This record gives sequence, structure tokens and C-alpha cells, in this order.
Amino acid sequence: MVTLKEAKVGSTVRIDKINGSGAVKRRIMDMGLTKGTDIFIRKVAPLGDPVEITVRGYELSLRKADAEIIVVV
Amino acid sequence: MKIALAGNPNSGKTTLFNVLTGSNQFVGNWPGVTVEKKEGKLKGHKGISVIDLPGIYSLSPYTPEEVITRKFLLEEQPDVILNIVDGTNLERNLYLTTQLLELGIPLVLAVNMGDVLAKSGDNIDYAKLGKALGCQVVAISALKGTGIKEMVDEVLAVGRENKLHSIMHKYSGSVEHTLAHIEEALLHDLPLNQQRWYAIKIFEQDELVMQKFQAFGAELEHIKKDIAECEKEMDDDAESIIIAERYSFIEKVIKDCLRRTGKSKMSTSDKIDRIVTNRFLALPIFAVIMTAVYYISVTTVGTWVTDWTNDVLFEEIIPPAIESFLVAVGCAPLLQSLILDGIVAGVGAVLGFVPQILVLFIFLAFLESCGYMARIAFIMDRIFRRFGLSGKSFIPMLIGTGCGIPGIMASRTIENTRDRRMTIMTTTFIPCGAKLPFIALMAGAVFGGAWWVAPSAYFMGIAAIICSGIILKKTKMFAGEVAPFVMELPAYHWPTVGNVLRSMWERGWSFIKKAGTIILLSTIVIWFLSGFGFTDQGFGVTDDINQSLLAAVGSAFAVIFAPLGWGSWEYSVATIGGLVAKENIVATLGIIFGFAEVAEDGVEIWGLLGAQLTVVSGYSFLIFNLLCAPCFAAMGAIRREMNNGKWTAFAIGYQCAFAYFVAFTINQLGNLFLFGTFGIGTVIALIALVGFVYLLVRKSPEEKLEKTAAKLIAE
Amino acid sequence: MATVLISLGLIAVVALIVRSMYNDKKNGKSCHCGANCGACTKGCHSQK
Repeated sequence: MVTLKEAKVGSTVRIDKINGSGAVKRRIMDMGLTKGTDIFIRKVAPLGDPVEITVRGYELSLRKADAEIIVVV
Repeated sequence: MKIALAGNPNSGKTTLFNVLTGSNQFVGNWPGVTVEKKEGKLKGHKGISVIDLPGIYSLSPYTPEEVITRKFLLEEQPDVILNIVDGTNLERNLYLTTQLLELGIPLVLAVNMGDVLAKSGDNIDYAKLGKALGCQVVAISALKGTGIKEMVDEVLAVGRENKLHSIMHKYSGSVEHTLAHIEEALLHDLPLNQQRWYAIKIFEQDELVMQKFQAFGAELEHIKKDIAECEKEMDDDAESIIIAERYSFIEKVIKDCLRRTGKSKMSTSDKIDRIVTNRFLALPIFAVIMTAVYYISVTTVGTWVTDWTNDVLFEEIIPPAIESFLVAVGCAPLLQSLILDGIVAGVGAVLGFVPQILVLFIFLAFLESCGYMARIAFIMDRIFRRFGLSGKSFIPMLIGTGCGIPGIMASRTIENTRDRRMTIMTTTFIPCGAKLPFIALMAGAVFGGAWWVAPSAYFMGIAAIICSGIILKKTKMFAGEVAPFVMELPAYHWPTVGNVLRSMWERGWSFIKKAGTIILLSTIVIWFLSGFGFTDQGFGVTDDINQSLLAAVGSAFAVIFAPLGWGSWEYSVATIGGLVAKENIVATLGIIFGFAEVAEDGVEIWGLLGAQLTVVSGYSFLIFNLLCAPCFAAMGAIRREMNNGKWTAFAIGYQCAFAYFVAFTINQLGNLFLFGTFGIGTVIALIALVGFVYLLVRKSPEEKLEKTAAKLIAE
Repeated sequence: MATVLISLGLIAVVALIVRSMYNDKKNGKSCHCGANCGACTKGCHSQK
């Protein structure tokens, strides 16, 4: 099971499912990260965290810990 | 008529609000929360108010901003919603739109950033968009001011006609089926236009809405079963179903209405980012940029102009001019002294630094408006996360470089209470505009204009914040879950010259105004205290400032500061004066040494200061005043944001204690290394330093727990 | 006599200052911050 946390910089992945519940999951989905959405991993911050992705045409930065709940293919 | 302005953060909502209301704005608080409420009157029309709702991404029940917006729209029933969306980011912006459209309030969609859209070559068919969404759509550019009149006309028309749009967004069959059930079972008593929104919320099992319907025990159980069935059928939980369907609806709409030119995604923003947020270069680049900013403002350009204002304007031109005037009209010497040695000396000392302030503010305004600072929050997040805050805490720090008060207020965007408290406590460590004259003064007088003094003040502030964060997060009071960090990164844009200049001027002008008000009053008080005292002849005018009331008060406190290297009364008084306004440090010293200058005939005021303080005690004095409690106005802001007397006292106490510790260490160890002095103070300082390092590196209670848990699992 | 006039002038100035500060506080504008709170929101709570 690969999550967004492990995805490589420069790759494009598709969201398979989002684990977890509550406010964090809701926030992530509200920002456009839903099942079947494509994400482009743009870069990683200088100290390894957070990670910057392109989704639905805009850039979003996410902590790796939060990215862990997003399962991708 | 009431117009509600709603939209995503970064959609240009604030700019639009300013355009619509001009200066007819009123800023307050939403009741019960520390979220800012902005209301204004529409320019050019009578009796029409515009409410600026907080920037939100959705109408979930999870954050205060969203809850406030929901409450307002449902309960206060504005006549029309003006939904502003960022045209260059349509997909995500429309997500909120689909939710707003369900509220049963007439809505007008304003697609902003028309200017940027045109440049990018992307194309939106606004008519089609309106048809697809079922509401009126207008294209605007809030920044350039285009389309505004048409938008206002449309909004007023829709508001007056009270024409509700048709619901174009239908969910999939099974969901609609369940929604119908819900409406039937629970919602027939509600106004017709709100039923759909409530039905969807109940379907999602939105906590706050569910609370409202608690009374309907039996019906609710039935509905929950229906929802569970629907979830099974669609293989997902209710909330996710709704969100996913919203986005699929939006994708369809976008396909019809938005034509992308498919230009290469590597825009200028990206090129800049590749260097500026590069893994290895980002932090050094940041350090270099901030050093350059402070160096140029204070030591080079700043000093050239300030030297002239200080040595020429306020020494050779203005004072003699005023003096000759006063003498010519036969003004009593005492009053002359009040004006010249008190007001002019004090206020003049402060005003002398205005050029440096302006230069610094230009730089800061530029960095802010071009978007660089948002990037910094992104980079700093990792560091901040080590001690449990997020990059979001960086924003108040940034604002604090201008003035600490809006910085403290900016902590409101931090949802986690503990993190917010910690941010409020540490924001004023960053040197604000008022501290700048003081920094410049010390840099010039004690350090001969060394280039590193001003930037070091800035980085000391950052270090203080980081260290405080680390230490505090490890205490029981502040330990806890790390706040989630999900932040949008807006593109870089070249800030308009007008905006930058205006921002600089606004801050600069308020600085000058402050000099003419609070500081002026303070100088009168200080003059009085320094000119009167208990001499051999009892109470009266005194020539020797060392016998004045000022000196008496100062000496009482001077003992406290002796271990820090500056235990003479002048500096205690300056420090205390700094509590009223940080500029007062300069004003007070200006008056005190001004008297001394008069006595010593022709020696430069600041030269005297330089003579009294060594490099070590000077730096200690500098750092103490930079880190200790902020001015009264800022303390008031802390009290307002903490909303709690105990926390406020703790915050200020912490700042003073921290400042004392750092200044003490600087003084003792500085003396050790530079002058070889070793005494009991040095020993204490070394012990204290060890203690400080321990607090920094010890394991936090959670880490200890984790380690124990890991050990147990391994066994 | 000039003394008296100038003193009166000074007192008037001080009174004006105090009054303007008091008015600011009443209007909730005792920001002491950079700009008037209306325009100040660029920093106050823009980033979210």
C-alpha cells in the first residue's frame, strides 16, 4: 500500500482512498483531494517536510504525516 | 439590504471588500470567538451594508470561521451572497460555491483575477458557467477595478428581486433518494429554501446540525439506517460521497466552460521557487536576504540619511532656530528648557530615525506582497514542527516586524489553543518598527556602525522564538498534538509600486504620528522628572541631572540590572520608558544625554552613550530591551487575544525572565571572553546556560512515552 | 508674556493629543499599528 507520503518527487499519482476520519480528513478532501483525483508531486521542502503537490490546477502544501492517510496508485 | 461577501482565502476577497466599501469599514469581532468581523457600507449607494465573511474553503463544522459563516448565512439571512472566486483556480474555488448555492439565498458569482486570466491565455465562458451553476456570473478584476460596476448592478438587482436560482447540482440517484427521505421525515417545518442544505448536512451527519435535531429520536434512527444503506451501495462514507460528488459536478462544469491553453506549467513562479525553496539553498538564501534588508536599512542607506537628520537637522538647524525664536520673544528659560531639552531633544531623537524606518518598511512591504513570505512559512514549517508549531505561526512573526500588535492579532488564524497561546507569547520577540531606532542607535553609538548589529537583532528574535517554542512545548502546559498544516501557496506576483509605497507610507506615517503624540507626552514627563529633584535646598529645579527625580527612580531599579552590565540609573529609566513605547528608549536617552551634552559642551550626545557602555554591556542592553515585555499597547493586545488574566501575566513574565536570562548570559560570558573578567556572576551564568541547554534538548513527555512504548513492544 | 502664550499653546497641544488618543481608543482604533485597521487586514488575518 503506497501512500502520498512515499510518492516520489516529480511523479503523478492517483488517489485510491483516504483513510482516517474527522477534521483532518475533511480538510484534505475539502481541498480537492478525493478518490480518483490525480496529484503531481512537485517538490519537498528543504528539510524534508512538508511536501508540495499540484492538484486540480493549484499548489497545496501538506505535512508528510497528513499525507500518510492518502493511499495512492 | 445586506450583502454577504464569501469566498476562499487568497481569492481577492479583501481587495474587493476594500473596493466596495472604501474607508466606510468597521472591524469588530464575531461574538464568542476571536474571528474578525468586517462590515462596511457600499460606496455610492444608501443603506446597503456589505459583510465580509471569513475566508473559507468549505462549510464544514470543524473550524470557527466555517461555523460562523454558516450561522450568519442561515440565521441572519442576507439578501444576497456575493461569492468571489479566483478565476485562475476555478476548480477548487467552485467547491465552496456549490455549498453556498444550497443555502437558499440568492447568489451572484464574481470571477476574479480577470487580468491574470487574460495574460495566461486561459478562457472562461461566463455565460455557460452561469447556466451550469444556475446563477448570475460576472467577470471582474478587483485589483484593476474592472467589472466592478457591472457586478454591483447585478448584485443589487438580484438582491432586490430576491430571485432564487435553480438548483442545478443533483447528486446521484441513491443520494437524492435519501435526501428526499430526510426532507420528508425531519424538515417539513423548515423554510422551503433551506431544506436542501439541511438535508445534505444530515446526510453527512454533520455534528452541529445533528445536535439541532436531537429531539427527533425515532425518525433519526430510521434516517441513519437509510444513510447506512446508501453508504454501502456507494462503498464510501456519507461525507466523502458528498464531497466527491461535488467535485465531479465541478469537473463537468469546468470541462464545458474553461478552456486551458495547455501552456507549459513551468511558470516564472516555479522557476523562482526552484532556487528559493531549494532543499539546500532555501535557508541560507533567507538568512542572506534578511541580513541584506536590515543591513541596507540600518547601516548603509539608513545611516547616511539618519546621520544627517540626527547631526544636522536636529542639531544644527531645528534646535538653534527654535532657540533663537524663543529667546527673541522673551520666553522664560524654564519653558525654553521644556521645549528644547525636553520635547525637541526627545522627539527629535526619535524622528531622526524615520528615514531608516521607511527604508526597512519598503523592503518588508515588497517581500510580503510578492509572496516570498508565504514560501518562508512553507520552509520554516519543518523547523517549527520540531517544536510543535506549524509554519502558520510564522505569519504573525512576519507581521511583527512592522508592529507587534497586528502580529499578535494574526495569531487568530491558528486553531489550536495551545499553539495560539505560544505564538502570542513569542511574537514580540521579533524587533518591531518601534525598536528600530533603538537598534540603530546602539549600532551607531556603541558599535561604531558595525554591519552585523542590526541583522543580529532580527536573528536573535527568531532564535528566541524558536528556543522558546522548543522549551515550552516540552512542558506539560503546552505539549500536545501537532497541528495539521495544509496551506495553499499562491503564485508569486510582482507587487504594484503603488501598493508597496502605500504600505510603507502608512506605517511610516503612523510612526511619525506616534512620535508626535505618545512620545511627545512622554518627553514632557521625562523632562519634568529630570529637571526637578530633591536637592540640598529641598524640592525644586536642579541643574545636576543626577539629583533629579528621574535619577532617583532609576537608581531604585538600577540594582536589578547591575548583573546585566548596565546598572546605572539612565538605562533603567530608558528601559522603563520603553514600556510606554519602545521609541521612548531613544527619546529618554536623548534627553538625558542631551543634558549631559549641554554640560559637556559640544560633545556629541551619542558619543557620550558610547563612552559609558562597553561592547558587552551595550549588547546586553540592546538584547534585553528587544526581548523583554513589549509596549503597553502590545500588552493590551496580548490581554485581548489571551482573554485570560493569568495567561497574560504568564506571557509577560516569561518574556521578561527570558530577556533577563539572555542579557545576563551575554554580559557575564561576554566579559569573560573579551575582558577576561571572572567572578561569581560568571559562574551563575554558566550554570544557567547549562540549564537552558538542558531544557532545549531534554526529551518531551511524549517522546519519553513513545520510547517506553517502543521498548515494551520490542520485548 | 510670551511665556504665558507659549505655555497656553503647549497645554492646548497636549490637550489635543490626549483627546485624539482618547477618541482613537473609543473607535477601537487604538491599534498603534501600521495603518488604520481597515487597510491593516492585509496582515491581520489574510493568510489562512
